[in-house]
Amino acid sequence: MIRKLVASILLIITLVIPSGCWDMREINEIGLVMAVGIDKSPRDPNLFLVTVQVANPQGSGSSGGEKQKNESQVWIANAEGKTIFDAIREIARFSSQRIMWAHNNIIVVGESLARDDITPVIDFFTHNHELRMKTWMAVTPLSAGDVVSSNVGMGNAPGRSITEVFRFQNLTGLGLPSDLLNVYHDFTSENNNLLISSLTLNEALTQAGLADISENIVEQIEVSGLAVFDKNRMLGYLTADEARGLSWFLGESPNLVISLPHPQNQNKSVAVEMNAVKAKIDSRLNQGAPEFTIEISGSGHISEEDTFSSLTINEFKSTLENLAEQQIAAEIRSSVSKVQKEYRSDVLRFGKTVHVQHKKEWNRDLKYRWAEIFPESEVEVVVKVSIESSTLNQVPLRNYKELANTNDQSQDK
Amino acid sequence: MQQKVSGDLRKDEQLLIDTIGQGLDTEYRHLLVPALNNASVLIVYIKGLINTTELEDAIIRPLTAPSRNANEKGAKKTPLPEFIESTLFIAGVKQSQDWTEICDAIVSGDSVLLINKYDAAFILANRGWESRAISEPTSEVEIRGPKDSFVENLMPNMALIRRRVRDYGLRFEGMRLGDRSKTDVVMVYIEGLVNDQILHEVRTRLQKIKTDAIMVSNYIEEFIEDSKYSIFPKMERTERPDKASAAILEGRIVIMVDNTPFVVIAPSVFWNFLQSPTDYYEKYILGTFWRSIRLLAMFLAISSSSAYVLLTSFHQEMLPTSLALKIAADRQGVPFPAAIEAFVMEVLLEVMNEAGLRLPKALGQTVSIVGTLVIGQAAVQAGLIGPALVIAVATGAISSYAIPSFAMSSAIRLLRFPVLFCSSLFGIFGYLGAVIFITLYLMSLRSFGAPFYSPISPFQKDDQKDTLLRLPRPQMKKRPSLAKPQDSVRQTTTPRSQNKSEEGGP
Repeated sequence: MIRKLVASILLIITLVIPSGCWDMREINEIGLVMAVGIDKSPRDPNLFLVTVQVANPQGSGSSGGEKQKNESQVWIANAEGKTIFDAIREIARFSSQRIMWAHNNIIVVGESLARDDITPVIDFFTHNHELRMKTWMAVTPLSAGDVVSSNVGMGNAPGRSITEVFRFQNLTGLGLPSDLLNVYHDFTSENNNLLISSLTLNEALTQAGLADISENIVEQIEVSGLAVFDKNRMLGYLTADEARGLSWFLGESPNLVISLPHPQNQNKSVAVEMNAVKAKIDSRLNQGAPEFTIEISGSGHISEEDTFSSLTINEFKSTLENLAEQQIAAEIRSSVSKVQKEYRSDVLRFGKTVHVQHKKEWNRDLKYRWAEIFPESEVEVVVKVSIESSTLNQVPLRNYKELANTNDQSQDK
Repeated sequence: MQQKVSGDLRKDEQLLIDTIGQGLDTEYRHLLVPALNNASVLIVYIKGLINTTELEDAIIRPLTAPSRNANEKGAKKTPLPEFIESTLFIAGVKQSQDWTEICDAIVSGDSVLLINKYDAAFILANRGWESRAISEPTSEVEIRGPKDSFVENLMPNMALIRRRVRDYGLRFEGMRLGDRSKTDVVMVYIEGLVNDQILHEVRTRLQKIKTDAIMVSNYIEEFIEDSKYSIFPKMERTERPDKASAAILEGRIVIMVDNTPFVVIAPSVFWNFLQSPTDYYEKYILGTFWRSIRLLAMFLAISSSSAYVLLTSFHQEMLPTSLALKIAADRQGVPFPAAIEAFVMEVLLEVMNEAGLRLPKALGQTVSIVGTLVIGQAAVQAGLIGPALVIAVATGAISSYAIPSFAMSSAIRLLRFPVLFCSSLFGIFGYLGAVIFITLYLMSLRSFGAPFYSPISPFQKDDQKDTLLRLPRPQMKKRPSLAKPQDSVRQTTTPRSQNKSEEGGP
């Protein structure tokens, strides 16, 4: 009896142990992908060229101060394949570590591939169960491999620095937060087209404290605007300035700065930081043709003003508010008209608005002709800015030495 | 031993010598009592167990005193029991014919007086042995609250409770357990408050114990507790009379065992082991805060090392990227998988714990230096274990010490191993499976009829005031339903609520 019991317990243990550990992999034995770039292969346009940036923990971690300065923080590999998965398996063939996607920060797609068809990229990464849907996605006019293998950033692994660029997008408005979830949504939606941020390299910054500057020019990655798609094909770019016009109403709580001419001194500027910006797109049907109103309201905050003026606070405030409203409206109008007239692709969520607000008409009629209707739709922009902060009462910084000089001169006369 | 006292002093003495022997500590003292016409008497006692001064002053001196009224005729006619009771200056005098009772009295520390030609013995209560004075509690230190604790001796322990509970219904119901040790066991409860069924259950379970000796209270606990093979303690133990008295006032039953400075409280539920008297001695918000900290500590004690293993070996996607990179960097070149690393560290920790417990004070420093320096720092620097694991294991160890009950804390420390085992095999599924199993198991337990996981499951609304939360005293109007007290009302109205109703009235 006891023998049988012991035997069965031993059997269970032997059963459990080999079946349990099969998917165990130590954290130091896996390669964490930080960024991935996908291009068309230069040799054969039917092949994908996948470049991965894998973190090298030895370079970035700190084990008791024994950090090797020379060791790179990342390891970069590329491979070609008929499918993306094929290429990734190819990388696994010669890499020493198993590749893990869960910590991937960004997927960069080369322009040539995006202009051809972006479907395989979105498909592969939404199929992949390891990948997070909050991974950023970007298009680059350069080769995606170059962007992924560039050595950028301050301290972090390069892939993570790129993410930080995206994180603070609401401060610059140069692109839109295009993460995989948004992209997937727009891609599959019947009323909206894709809009993906674009990245470029900018060889400008130098690493401080290094003797030989020319050798240590560090490439800087920057968000340079947006790539406009029609269905699965990329049509072209919006520049950073044009992207800013869209981010007023498509971005997530844009926190942008506008520079306005000083009401009394055209050579001087006043900087106004916008916050609590609320955007609303409204649609109405005018004899079957949709018309749109983009309503923006927000409050401003004077952050730079160094010129004296003889205006009262109320006059100053209302002048500035008018100027700001005009400027924002102009930015939005030019971007919207460029999208409408040049690309003729609805990336502005207009179709979505009509779908929601006039469901019947959309389903009956509009959605079939949307590609023709969208470019011709009337768009009205209404902006309401209120500058309502204590900084209005703040006296501009004055230089007393200069003041004293001018006083002296006037007395001399 | 069915015999009775014969009245023949020589025969009786011989019988006593046959029964309890003539050892070094046993004294047979012969006297002649002038007041009884020089009748020969025998006093039998154990030397270390009686109060010698009392024996000399209150027993021998009055007995041997020359009779003042020896010649008076009336004196002779005084019946012997009344004579003894009025002559001896001793509090307790009891007459007995039963040899078993007499022998028990002698070995318990009473003196026994036998008189020639009288067929009964007098049991004289003059116990008095060396015992430890009441001192500060050592294993349940509290910042505020009384500083006395139980001792090994029953009498002062009962006094400590009586000093706190002066209710007329307070009962100390004694029984003697253990064929050879003949240990006194006392059930303490308040008549009229305690639930009769539970009391009856405790009494029957105690009476059913047939064993040769009871050394400490745990002997009894193992006999009477439900689910004997469970590793969780199902009765609270305390050395604090304030805690024991509070339990009695909730209608629970306290079991005291002679020679054990800890009493046992029955019934108890799981949440009692996370509570501490200080919860009631400080502001109620602090009490609630401390309880939540302890709950968190219990959770950490069970899961910190398992969490490390399952995150680093199975679910790396659950770590923030920078943390994942840091741990990966620290683990470069570590020769073992995280699971084995964690097991080794946990076992080493328990070894250190065990070594430290019983070490002479002078050696204590050596253990801590060797433990922290060699095992902690050197092993990490040599790259044998990852530093993050040391943090995880140490967090678990510290957390386990935050659980007030030593028995519960040890049980939880032991449970870490199966949980860690399951986590190393199946990742988070194994971990959750193990934790769910433990929780379900806790819910299946009972302590003298009370579901062990109550009042959380089954949920008792009124008892929530004093389980994980600790509400202000005036709000706790009812006693916990745990012991199903006959009288569940602790207080009816409070001054404040009276004021409120007056204010709110029309």
